[in-house]
Amino acid sequence: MRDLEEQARRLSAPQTAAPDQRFDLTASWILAEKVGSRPVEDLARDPHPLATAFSYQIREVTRRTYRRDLVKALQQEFEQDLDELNNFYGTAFSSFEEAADAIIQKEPPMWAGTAAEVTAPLYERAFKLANDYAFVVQTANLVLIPIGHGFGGSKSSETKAGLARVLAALFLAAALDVSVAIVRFSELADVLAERGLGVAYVPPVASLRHRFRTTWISLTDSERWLQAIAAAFRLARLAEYPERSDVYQVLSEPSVGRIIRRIEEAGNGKTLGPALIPQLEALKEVLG
Amino acid sequence: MIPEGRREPAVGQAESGSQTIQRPLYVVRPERFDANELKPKIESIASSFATYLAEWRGTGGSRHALMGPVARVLDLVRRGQADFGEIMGRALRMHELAAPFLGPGGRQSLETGVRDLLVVVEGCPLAVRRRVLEQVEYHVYYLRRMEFLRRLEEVYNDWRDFLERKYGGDIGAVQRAWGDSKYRDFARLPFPSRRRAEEDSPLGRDVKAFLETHQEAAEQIEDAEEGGLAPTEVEGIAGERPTESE
Repeated sequence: MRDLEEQARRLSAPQTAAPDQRFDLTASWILAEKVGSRPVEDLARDPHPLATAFSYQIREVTRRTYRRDLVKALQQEFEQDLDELNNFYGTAFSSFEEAADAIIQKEPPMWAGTAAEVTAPLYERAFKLANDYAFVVQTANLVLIPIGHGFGGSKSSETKAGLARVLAALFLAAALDVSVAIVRFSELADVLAERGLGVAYVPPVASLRHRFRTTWISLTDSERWLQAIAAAFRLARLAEYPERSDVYQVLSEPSVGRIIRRIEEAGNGKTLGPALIPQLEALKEVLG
Repeated sequence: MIPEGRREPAVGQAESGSQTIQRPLYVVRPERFDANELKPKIESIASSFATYLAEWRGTGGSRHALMGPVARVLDLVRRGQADFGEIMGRALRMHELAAPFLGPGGRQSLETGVRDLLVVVEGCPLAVRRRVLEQVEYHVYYLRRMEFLRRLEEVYNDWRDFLERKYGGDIGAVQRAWGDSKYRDFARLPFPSRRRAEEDSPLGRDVKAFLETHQEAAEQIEDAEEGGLAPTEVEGIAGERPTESE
């Protein structure tokens, strides 16, 4: 747990965040890949996948956008006056771009003392850092992760975002051998009040509660649901369901055969290679 | 919905003028029909059909090629106008037109599947029949498609073994020979397609040599390609990530 927390803090704090890496509990596609590529029992034995499960490399094009945003932020902060910027930092940059690069490369003048108080919020906004994950070890067997924001981005329905929360909770539960609840601050009291016997908390979304038929997924069901949700995240895009609810639709189909047929009808039949056999079998476990 | 077994005749009395007539009363207990209870039967029927279809030689990977006469069987049952004999007759005729021989094991599996299907459909309410038939159809489809994928997996394993033998298990040697450093693992090599075999490149020549020495694998690939279902990469695009800004 400490490794994970350390990784989250290091990659989310402006002072230490690498410009090309990101920590994101909502990075379900990364997690789905990691889950799909190794047996669940290995997760508990090896700390490396846990520490890196939610971190990923940012693409070059995104990095360029963030840099451009940082340049704009600096220009706004110093009202387009490069001399003022140089006076403030004690530097001799010939352009705002140079100053932005120095910030990105964590050069000491840009991050020392009071300079950091100005630099950090600019960098945090430009690079869209979300330093708001806390891991609360409520008891020796229960970890609460309160979240203040949505889970899954603007393109996700509440159900899809809820499945992303369940996937992350199931993964952490398997890797740490504890019960995990990822909850909004407003739901915290309810979660503690309805603490069940399971290992992963199901968000209060009617369709999810109906699908899992429980508030807490039990230890015996946790592995098959972990693998099935991860498989659904990987196959949903091939089947080309509406993006807002694609993962839930995969998990609601009456049969895996229908998903296969849909993938073929969407013209993605050639993508159904032998490597997808484990994913199809994982879905079979919950769909039939 | 009222399952057949829930009707319980009882004797009641009705008065008509000065006479008392005894007549049976039927007490019914309405219950929701749970289609999930049929799942084991549906899986068993689908397995019988899939066993039969192992003898069906449809070319390619289309629905027709994968499902063969079973698709026709399901259509006939869906319409509800054919009995066991007619369904079997039509299915066997369709089989004979496409394949010259059907072994006794295959015929027996087909018979078992049709008979069990008719029993299940008879026993379930009209409103859920379509859904039950759809589940059988997709389950057969799943079994057939998985069998197809497993055959492709064997082809891929043979291809990987072929390359490991040729390059002494050294992926670096493969990279040097193919002039491409993106292949970092024997488990993530490109699928050996016929199109690749035609390429005038080291990779193309390796694929060509493999297909020439592995006749069965070549036939499987031909089958898959004709059905438009041969994978280009072993991982497909399922491993790709959406943009991180999502």
